[in-house]
Amino acid sequence: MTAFEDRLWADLVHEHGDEILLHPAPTALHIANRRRPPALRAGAALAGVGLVAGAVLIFTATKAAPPAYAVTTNPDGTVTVTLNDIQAITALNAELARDGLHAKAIPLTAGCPTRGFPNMMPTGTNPSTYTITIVPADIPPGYTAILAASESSSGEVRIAQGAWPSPGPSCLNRTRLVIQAPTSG
Amino acid sequence: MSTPPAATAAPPHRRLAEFEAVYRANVAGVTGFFARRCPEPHTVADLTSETFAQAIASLGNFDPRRGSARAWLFGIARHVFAWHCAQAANGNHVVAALSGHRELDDDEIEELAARIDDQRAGREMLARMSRLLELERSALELVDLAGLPAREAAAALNVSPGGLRVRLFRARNRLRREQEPK
Repeated sequence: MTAFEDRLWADLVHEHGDEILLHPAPTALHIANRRRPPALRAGAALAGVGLVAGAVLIFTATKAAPPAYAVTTNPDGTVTVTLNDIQAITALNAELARDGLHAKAIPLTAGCPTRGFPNMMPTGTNPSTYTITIVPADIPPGYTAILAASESSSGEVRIAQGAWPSPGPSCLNRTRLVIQAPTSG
Repeated sequence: MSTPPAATAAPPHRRLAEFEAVYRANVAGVTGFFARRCPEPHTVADLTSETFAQAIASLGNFDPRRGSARAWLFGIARHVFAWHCAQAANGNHVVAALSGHRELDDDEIEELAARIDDQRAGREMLARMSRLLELERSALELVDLAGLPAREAAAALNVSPGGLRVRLFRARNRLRREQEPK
C-alpha cells in the first residue's frame, strides 16, 4: 500500500466513514444472498471499531413504509421504535415522553457542533424483523437514550442509538459520528 | 437478544473492514485506470477519490449477483471519467467543486507521477484503440489493460458475457489488421 493509497483511505474514512457504518443495507461486498425485508432493514450493534467507545445500533426504514413512526412496547418491557419519516421526530418524541421513556430522537446533521455518543448503551436487536429495540433497563441512571436520525438522499431514515447524560443534545454531527465518539463520558 | 445473522446484516465494524478490503484490492487498478487517461497527478488523485466516494454513496446499489466489486468499481470509474470529460469540455473544474480538491504531499505526487509514467504503454494502446467503437474500446481496456476477467468486464459494461467476447474478438482483430504492414 502506497502513501497515496493509505492517505486516501484515511480521508475516505474521515469524510465518509459514517456513510459506511450507517449504511442501511448490508455491505454484501462478498455476500451472495442478501435478504431485505420490504419495509425495514437494520444494522447491528457497534462495538470495538478503532476509536469507537460508544455502542451504536442502527436501523433504517423506507419512507414508503407507513406509519411515519411507531413505538411498540413489547411484553418483556423493551420498546421497539420505528421512524419512517424524519419529519416525525417531534411526534415520535411526544410518544416516547407519553410512554415515560428516557429516550428521544434528534436530527443527525452535518452542521451540528455536538459529536459522538459519550456512553455505551447495550441495545437489543431482532434479526428476524430488522428492528432495534430500546431496553429501558439498560439506560444508565441520569442518561437518555438518544436516537440520532438522518435521512439519506434516497429518502431512507437512518438511526444511530446511544446514551447521553440527560437531557441530551438537540442534534448530533453526522460527520464522523462514530469515528470520533469520545472514549468516556 | 441475538445479533443479526452475518449473511444478512453485517455489523458496522465489519462493513468498514469489508469496504476497506475492497478498497485495498482495487485502488491500484482504479488509479491506473485514471493514470492511463490523465497526465496530472492531482487529477488522477481526485478522480480516484471521487470514484470511491461515489462507491460509498451507492453501496446500497451494489448487488454481488450482478458482478464483482471490482467490476462495480470500474463501472463507477468509467462514469466518473465521462462526467469529468464532459465538465472539462465546458470549462468546469468539476472534481474540485464536487468533492473538494485534495492537496497531495510530495511523496504522493511522486508516486502518482510514477503511476502515470508506468501507464505509458496503456496510454499508447488507448490511442491505438481510439478508432474502435466505444464499447469495444472499453471491453479491450478492462480485459487487456485492467486485467478484469471477461465475465467481470461484461458486468461493468452491462453487456452479456457472450456479447463481450464478440466485441473483444472484433476489437483485437481490428487492432491486429491496423498494425499489419500495408
